[in-house]
Amino acid sequence: MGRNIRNRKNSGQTLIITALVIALLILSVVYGVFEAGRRSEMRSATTLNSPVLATKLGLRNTVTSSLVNVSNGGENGILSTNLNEYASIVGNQSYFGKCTVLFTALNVSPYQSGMWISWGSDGTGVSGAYANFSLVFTRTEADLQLEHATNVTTRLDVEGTYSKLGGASKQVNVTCRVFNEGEAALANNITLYYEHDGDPSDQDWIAAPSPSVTDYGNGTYTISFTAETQTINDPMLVSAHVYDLRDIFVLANATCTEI
Amino acid sequence: MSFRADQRGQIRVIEALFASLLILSTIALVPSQLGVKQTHYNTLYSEGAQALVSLDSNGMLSNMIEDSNWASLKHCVQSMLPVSLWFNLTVFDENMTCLNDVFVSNGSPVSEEIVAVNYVCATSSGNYAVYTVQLQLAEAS
Repeated sequence: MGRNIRNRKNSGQTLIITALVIALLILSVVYGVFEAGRRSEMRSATTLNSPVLATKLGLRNTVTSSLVNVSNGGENGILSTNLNEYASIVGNQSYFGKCTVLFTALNVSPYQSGMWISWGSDGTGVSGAYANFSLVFTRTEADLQLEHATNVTTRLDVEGTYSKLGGASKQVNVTCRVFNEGEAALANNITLYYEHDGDPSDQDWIAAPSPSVTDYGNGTYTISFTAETQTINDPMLVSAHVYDLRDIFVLANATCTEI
Repeated sequence: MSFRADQRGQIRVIEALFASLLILSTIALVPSQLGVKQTHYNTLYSEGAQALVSLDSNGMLSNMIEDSNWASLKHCVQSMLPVSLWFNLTVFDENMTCLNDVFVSNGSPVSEEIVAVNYVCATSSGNYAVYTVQLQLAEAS
């Protein structure tokens, strides 16, 4: 009889311990699922979006600033200098973790040290900058590496026609089209010049007198003016100097056709 | 006699299960409260960072800093954040020298829990400069 009672007591204790173990298992599973969901949500929704956006924006601004500088007479090396400065400051910050910026300025033709300046006499001028980036975000929970490229390009297309008015006077109509990254863009300032004797070797450029400018609002501008060349048969060469809204400078020369 | 002993065992098991469920629910509430705090922090951080990214995306942020136009900067930040949020903005240069000589803030903090957003702002103008913008935020509790 005494042995039976002891057995019954032991059996109850075992059941209680078993129930506790099962409850702890359930608890662990529920907690694990909850925590994993929370971390996943945090990472994807909030944690990395802002730092990634901010860093990409900063890099784009840095490339744009460098192109503004180079297109206004600065050295090509300014791109690497500015990017190094930005990477250094971002590396010392910690949004939600450490961010490391690695970059490569494009050195494939027509780019040199990430810059492409081509101000031709065929009616097209290009000021561009290109760099590849690798962003590494290091956090306690996870690491993230992003590859992306930044391209900032301002292109100018110029074409024109002229008609003889009498003497050495010519009525000139020039059309300028401005593009940012291949999309039509507005210009901040346009200045037009023409060659006095039609020979670009002596660089005798004269500002177009009293030009009449029509802005179509879509990056297309027509400019009309009356030019006085050295002789009536001199070809009509025009040169358009344009600053876009980002202050990137680009110029293009073109030979107008007679109509 | 034997039947009664079995019943007692079942009741103990049920008691143990109830006790376990009690412990389970108590412990389960702890991380959820921590999660609420973390989510609150993330929400404030996200709102501040988004406001700064929006201002910077069209170049306004760096232009206002370069022009030391602190009044406009205050109005812009104020218009982009919820009215219930307190903010205080400080701008530092590369050497972490404070640039704004006036407070860019909308009053006094309304909570002891302040979230700071550090934002690196690069200018897109020809004179390149990098600023660190620190935006402190607090919400009425």
